[in-house]
Amino acid sequence: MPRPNLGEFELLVLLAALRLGPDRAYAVSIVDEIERRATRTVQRAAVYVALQRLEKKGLVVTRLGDPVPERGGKARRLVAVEGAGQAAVKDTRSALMSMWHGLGSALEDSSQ
Amino acid sequence: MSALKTPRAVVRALELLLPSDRREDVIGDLEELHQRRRARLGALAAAAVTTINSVWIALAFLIIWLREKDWSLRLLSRLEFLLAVRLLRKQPFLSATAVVSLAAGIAVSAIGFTMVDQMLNGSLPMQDGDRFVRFDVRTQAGEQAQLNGDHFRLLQQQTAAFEHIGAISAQRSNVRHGAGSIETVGVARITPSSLMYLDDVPLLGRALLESDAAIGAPPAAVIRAAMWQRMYRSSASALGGELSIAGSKYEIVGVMPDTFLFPSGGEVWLPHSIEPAGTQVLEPLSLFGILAPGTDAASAEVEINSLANLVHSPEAASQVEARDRLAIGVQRFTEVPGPIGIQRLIGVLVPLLVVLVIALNVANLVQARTASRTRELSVRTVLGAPRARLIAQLTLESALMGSLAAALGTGCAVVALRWIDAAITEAPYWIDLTASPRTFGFAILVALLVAAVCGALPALRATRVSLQQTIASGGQAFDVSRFGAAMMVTQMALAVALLSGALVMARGLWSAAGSDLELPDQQVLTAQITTPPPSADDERLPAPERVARAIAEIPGVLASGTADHLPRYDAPASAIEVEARGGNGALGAAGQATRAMVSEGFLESLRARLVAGRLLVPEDFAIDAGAVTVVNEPFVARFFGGSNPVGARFRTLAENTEEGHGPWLKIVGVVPDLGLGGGAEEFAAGYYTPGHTSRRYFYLSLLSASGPETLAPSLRSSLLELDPELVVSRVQLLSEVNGEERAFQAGMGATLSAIGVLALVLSLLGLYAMISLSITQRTREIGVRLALGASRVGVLRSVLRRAGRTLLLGGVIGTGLGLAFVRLQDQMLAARLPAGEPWILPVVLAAFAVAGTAACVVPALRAQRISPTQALKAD
Repeated sequence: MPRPNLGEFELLVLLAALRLGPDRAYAVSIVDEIERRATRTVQRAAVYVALQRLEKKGLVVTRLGDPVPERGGKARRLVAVEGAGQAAVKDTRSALMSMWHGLGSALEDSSQ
Repeated sequence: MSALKTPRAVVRALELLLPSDRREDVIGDLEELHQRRRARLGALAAAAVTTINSVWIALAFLIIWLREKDWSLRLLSRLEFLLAVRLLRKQPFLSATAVVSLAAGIAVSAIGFTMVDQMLNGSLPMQDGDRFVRFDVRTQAGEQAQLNGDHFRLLQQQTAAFEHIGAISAQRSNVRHGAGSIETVGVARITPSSLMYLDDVPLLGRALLESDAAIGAPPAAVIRAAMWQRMYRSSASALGGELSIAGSKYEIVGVMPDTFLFPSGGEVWLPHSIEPAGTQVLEPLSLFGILAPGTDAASAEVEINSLANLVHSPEAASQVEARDRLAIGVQRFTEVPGPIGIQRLIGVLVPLLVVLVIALNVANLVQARTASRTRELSVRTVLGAPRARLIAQLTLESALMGSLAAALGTGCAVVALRWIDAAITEAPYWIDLTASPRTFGFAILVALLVAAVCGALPALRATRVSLQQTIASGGQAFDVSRFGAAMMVTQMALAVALLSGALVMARGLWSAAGSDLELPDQQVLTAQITTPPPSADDERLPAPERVARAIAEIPGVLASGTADHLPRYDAPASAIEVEARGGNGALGAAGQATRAMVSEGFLESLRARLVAGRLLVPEDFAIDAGAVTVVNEPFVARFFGGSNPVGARFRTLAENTEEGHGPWLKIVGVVPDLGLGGGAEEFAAGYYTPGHTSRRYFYLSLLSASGPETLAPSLRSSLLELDPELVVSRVQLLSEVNGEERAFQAGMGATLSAIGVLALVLSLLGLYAMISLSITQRTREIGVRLALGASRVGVLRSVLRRAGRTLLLGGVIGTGLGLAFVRLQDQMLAARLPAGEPWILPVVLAAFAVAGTAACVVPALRAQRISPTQALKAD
């Protein structure tokens, strides 16, 4: 079965979830992580759409954590990146790397 | 801590909008973020940002839902479509009945809609056609009045509401081309300044100019292309040609295209001059207006009422006294005045009833089909098919039928409208009965509505039943008997009403359309003569007498005369009372009789056979002659029981005279029925009196030994010589008199009967479907009853009893509705109809009973043949 392709935003979400780990990755922390590391503003609603899509593709699994008092007693939906998700990230990375390869001088030329 | 919480309204809204499994974590996330924001931005700003954020989140989940939900309406896939087609093909009889019913309904309603739409909403076919208005001028007493030249001038000078005020008049006149042929065509007069508001430009020469209307200007006329082609072979030499109209000569100065028809068709236009101010007695004018852009009829009405009442007094600037004030209504130019006529009745009421009957019928059929699938639907529900999906599929099936029906119905409507448009020749020129985009829109709307209601309602009902209920009842939880019977009764009631009403009208129209009269149809030439308005100083003999004398001298004429009515036209009827035998003034029979006023020779020109006594002789026409009359055979049959009435007397009952009756008329002769009552049996009793009409039109009749048509040219020229202002029209053989009207009436009668029969057939098909279904549903019950020893006759009786109840109830309600419908027709129809026919309703009901029983017999026999063992095995 071919592996699903990842969109750029989906890749960012997966990377953030991997960084945070299965006990700390949830919508709010994922947004924070992307904003902090990628220094770009993220529309929070888009993260829900992306997570829903990734879950449907079988790249992440979600579960409800314990209730948290500062959240009004409500639980977090924690995100864990599955093996398929990790493989998809690796595939995307190698695809990007091979595409980058040899482009250094060309990009320097175009930036001049 | 409550102050730290997310705004409550936002939480509530999200609880409603989010899917249940995502409420906790998403609202938790929002709560967490809100607290952070509050610490950073303050309570108010945090609340604002959180609210905006929640809107985005709700939208995000809406997108997720739209993408992922298996919602049925979006998924009316090819498969569903194929299923619907298969179902239609699987039950061809039922599908065909539903499609044909719907198509008939759509066709009839589209025709009715187009006719009413054109009559109510038609606009002049020109750029600003919607702004043209006419004036309804009335006195304080409510009598019709007219404006005059003073009004015209004042309005022209002072109006702000109207861009233009013009004067028009139109009538049919004799037109002689040069020294050659004469023909009768529509001639209109129009103020030349009005022409710039009409879109057309001359094909040849020029249009009428203001100078043409000036006093002393050379008389000018423009003609329409049709006349130019017909009479001048489209030659440029037509310009400068001479037209003689009503004794005056006009020079042709231009040719207008055939699209130039304002105000009422016709082929010749003359300049309408307005009498100068200070004229003693001003001629009444027929004015029209063009509203200024942005002005509505209501404000124009206010203005014209105040202006017109300024001028109505001797001192133009002062207000007129209250009693002399005119009340002027501003109407769209195309508004058809007058009472509700036959067209409107046909146009509105009948299609409405037909569509109702058909909608009920289709709903019934669809319901019957849906009911037979209750078990399947219930099982599908249990297997997880959402209700919306089932409803959508059932609605798709109806929509498919609706589309087929719309195509078929609209096609029929287009053809029928084309035929009606060609058949109605005397309608105003702007009425275009060809199918318009609005007609198609209407047909599609009706189809969709009927399909949606017929499909969705039974579907909603069928999918509401529970599985338990369905399985427990062996698959027939959907009770067709009550809902279906109610619809069936309503439908039949409407069908009975429609059919009986249609038959009454059709019978009336048919009997008026033709009957065997003892008339020399092919040997008599007739014509209508219209005289100019009478003037006080005209000391000549009345026109009918002068015409009667002139035509008697035409070579080849055996007999001739004039009358106020020709055979087959409706003559007026009035109440009469007959003097009892013995002549002492005691009264005998009384009733309605029609009357015609005839000149000497008129009855002879119709070759009236003398049944008894004598015809009218010259002495009867003398001023000092005693009042005598010749009656017809139906009159004798009605008032004298068939015995010879010569010498007897009768008089008319006139409510508006002091005595309450007219003078005694002595019967001097009897002739056969010569079509006095328009051919209708009910109005055939009538009498002929010597005299002439005071109306401005009358008819003449010429009996010729051979080829009366050849007399037409000499008739026209001798009348033109007698009085150039006499307008001769409808020159035709006696056999053709009232032919157009008779053909129209026969067509209308046939159409109405066809609609009634259609309604009857549809109702019976619906009845058949319902009874058939109810028997299928009761197979098991019937099997049990037969197994328990019930007789087959008993089973048959029980099946027929239920159908009988529906038939009876439908019949009773239908009879009531039918009577009301016929009464309504009587009141609404401009045409004269015979009184309610006592036989029609019983006949319709009997037809229903016979046909209804026939519709029950096939399924009932099937019920009788049911074998108990098979029935118990069945579902």
